[in-house]
Amino acid sequence: MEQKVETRFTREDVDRALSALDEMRTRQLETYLHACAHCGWCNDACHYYVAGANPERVPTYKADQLRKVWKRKYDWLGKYVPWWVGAVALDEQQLERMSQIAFRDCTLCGRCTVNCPFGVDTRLIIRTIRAMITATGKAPEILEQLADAAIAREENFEFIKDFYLEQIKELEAELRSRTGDPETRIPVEAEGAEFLYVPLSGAHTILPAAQIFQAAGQSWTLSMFEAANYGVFLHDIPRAKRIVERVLREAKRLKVKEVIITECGHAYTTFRWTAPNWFQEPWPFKVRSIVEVIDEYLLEGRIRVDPSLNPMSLTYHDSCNLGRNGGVLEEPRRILQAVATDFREMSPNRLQSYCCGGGGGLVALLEYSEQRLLAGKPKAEQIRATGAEAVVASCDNCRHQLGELNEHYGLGVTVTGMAELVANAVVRRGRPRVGHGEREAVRPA
Amino acid sequence: MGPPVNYMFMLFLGLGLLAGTLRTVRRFSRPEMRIISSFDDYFSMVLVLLFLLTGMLALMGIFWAIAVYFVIAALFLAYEPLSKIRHYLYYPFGRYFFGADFGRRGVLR
Repeated sequence: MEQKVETRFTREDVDRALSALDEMRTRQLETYLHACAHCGWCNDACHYYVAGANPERVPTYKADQLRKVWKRKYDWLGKYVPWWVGAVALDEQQLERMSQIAFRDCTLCGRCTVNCPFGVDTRLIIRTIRAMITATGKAPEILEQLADAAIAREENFEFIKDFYLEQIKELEAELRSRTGDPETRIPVEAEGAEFLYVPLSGAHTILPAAQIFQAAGQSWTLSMFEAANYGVFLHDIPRAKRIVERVLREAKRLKVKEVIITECGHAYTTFRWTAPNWFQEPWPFKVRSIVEVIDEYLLEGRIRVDPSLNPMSLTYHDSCNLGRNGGVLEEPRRILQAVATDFREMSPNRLQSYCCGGGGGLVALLEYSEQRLLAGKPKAEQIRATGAEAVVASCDNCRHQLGELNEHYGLGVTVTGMAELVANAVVRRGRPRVGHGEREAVRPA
Repeated sequence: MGPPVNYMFMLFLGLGLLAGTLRTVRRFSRPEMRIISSFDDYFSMVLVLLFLLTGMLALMGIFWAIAVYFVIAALFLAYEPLSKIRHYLYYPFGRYFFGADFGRRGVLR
């Protein structure tokens, strides 16, 4: 039934992958592998399938690529009468298929999981496949490079520190111009600050937040590291942990009360929900998203906003890792009602929101961009149906993907972020409001 | 034919049989269902349909159906741990993990 595929995997890779699987067999994973009744209810939940009606894109088919291999080794009928249950021995061909499914055909969005009568976590199953591929050393190179670069950043920080601080100085000048406050700073290494704000590599993730913190009179300090964690996309826990540890060490050293993650989906879910489980001791600080913080500022009246400063019609894209997997569902709505005059919901939204197609690190994988753009079709149609002029997303990768979808499907929308919109609407007494600048890289590429 | 409660059971078995037959047709006819179906998936369906059918016939008092019904019930119980039919025992644990994972994130209402 399966077509023969060209593969770079070897017999040793197969053995490494099987050892990796053996170490990942938790009760949680095995329950999901056992419980799936192949009912097909998740078919219509997956944006890949909805976009193209290709049977090989349904979640059960994808999860089955692991399930078949697992059954062959660990299930009674799978071991002794494999053809009865469709069990398959792992070979180089199957490993190649699994690699494509895990890194090209699934964004780990979780929409199938919330629609499954049993709650089978297809994301966990696909992550397990990713970990198996990573164990062979032949996971997509760009993901490995980005993960290693993040680790190298902390190890070599003494060499790049001065350059980084110079860039911050330049941003400070821009911040003073925007806020009209010559005293305002972008604090770095400020011990005892209340917030440690973790950005991404882009001024657009720092300046708007800095403007908002200034308006709210917030005590904060800027992290020297970025929130992105490519170890998570590889499902390489030791490396993912190492990447999180950079910020963890910084937060403990500076004795901050909270770590605030910039608008980034996977970084939020990682810091807030999954990474704490990788460590023995509880963390001495809370973790929140900048979106939650802005919501609190508005509810408490700590910043004043004028919604007429954002007159364009807007719709909101629920990023999978922030919303469905993260729990930040209502805050964005409250914020948008407060800072804009024409906010329209897409349908479906919140828990049932469609993935934009750029999740799971896919935006970094250029070799799979065709499939990613195809899979983004349901989201593109949702945006078009609202008739909005702009779409707001609180995740950098989503914004990147939405920008590409905009071009590919001719949507004619502007893609913008939450903090940008809020900063644009902030009202200062007696000070002129200045417009915002363009996106620029902050630190060495 | 017997007490009214027999008619009730027959009705539900009949409805189950109808639903099951439609589901089996769905599994055979759609490519997105065929691609996720192994022999076990088809066999389990047929087993359950026979179970429902013979149950219904047994209630009608057809003697050979009663015997076949018991044989199929025994086969069903013996086969269940080996097959995907085990889902009826495993799925509550699946729901537990789902709730533990998603519920604590403030995602479910």
